[in-house]
Amino acid sequence: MVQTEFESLEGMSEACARGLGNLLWALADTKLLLGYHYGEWTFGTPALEAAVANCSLSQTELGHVRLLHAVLKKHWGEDPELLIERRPAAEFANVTFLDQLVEDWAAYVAANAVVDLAATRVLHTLQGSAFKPIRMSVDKMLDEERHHLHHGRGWFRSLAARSDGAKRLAEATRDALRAVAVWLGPADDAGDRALVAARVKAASNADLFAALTQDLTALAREAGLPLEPARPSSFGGWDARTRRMDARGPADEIVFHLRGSANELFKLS
Amino acid sequence: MLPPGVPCPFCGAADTVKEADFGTSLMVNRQYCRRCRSSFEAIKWGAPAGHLDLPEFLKTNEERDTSHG
Repeated sequence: MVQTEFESLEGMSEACARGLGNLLWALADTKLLLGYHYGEWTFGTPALEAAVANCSLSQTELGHVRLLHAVLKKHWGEDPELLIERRPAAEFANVTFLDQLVEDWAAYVAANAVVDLAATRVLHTLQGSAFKPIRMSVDKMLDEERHHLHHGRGWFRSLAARSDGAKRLAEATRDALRAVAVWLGPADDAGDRALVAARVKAASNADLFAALTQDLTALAREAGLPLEPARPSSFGGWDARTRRMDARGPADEIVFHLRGSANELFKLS
Repeated sequence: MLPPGVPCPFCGAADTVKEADFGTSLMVNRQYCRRCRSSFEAIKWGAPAGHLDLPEFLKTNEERDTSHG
């Protein structure tokens, strides 16, 4: 019999508990990197309003990280300080599109309209979760994500309509989507199956990718941008913890800035 | 004649007109409500005022009803 609600990990199968921990860890890492990149794009945007918006987007993503880290700390014993300050880059489970500097506005728009959408799609599958501690937080996060996606889709349409922006946007969107497909994971992941069976997560990885591509193809079609989403032919080497097919991680420069190592001297004792 | 504007955020009337392409910032235009005689700003990007540009799964029931007709 399927337990209808979990106040904690007690009563949850090991596969389910591990799968959920991995999922929340990956969500937190993706949001951490999104927060970093949004923060980096508070300068150099095509319009001043986008710079101001990015400041807000960054803050809400980092707020979501705090929230997710608190759940990971309470139920999985993770140390939020360690997760940010002392973890090797290879252990990060973010969408790999965010591993490097987001070099131009088209890549920024892809991060906002595709990667943020993927993280939001995952959150959405937890909206009615049987795991109460996360269900209690999801509505608030989704409410804020509505504004993130509104921003990303607006710029997506705007850039797609420009002859000098559409080609680069199509490339960046394709790259982001490929990275997201890997991050969402293979259809036969045992942890994912356990989560869906226990009603902790409402949709499987495969269903999530299908829904995501439906969102994006509809947007791209309206914007007149060609988009042909495809899942990877193989998930060889895919690691359920890092949601990657290789042992890389965010660039050293990004990890350095995430840690704020240079500001260590100014920490309050 | 100016095209019809977006719903008024003060009284909800659809009897509004766009007064100017830009408001206090590039991202908004200025609208005028002929019913309650209020000026207001609406965010551009083609979305009606008060409604965000969202994929279906993030829309509220009210937003779904509005977008479907």
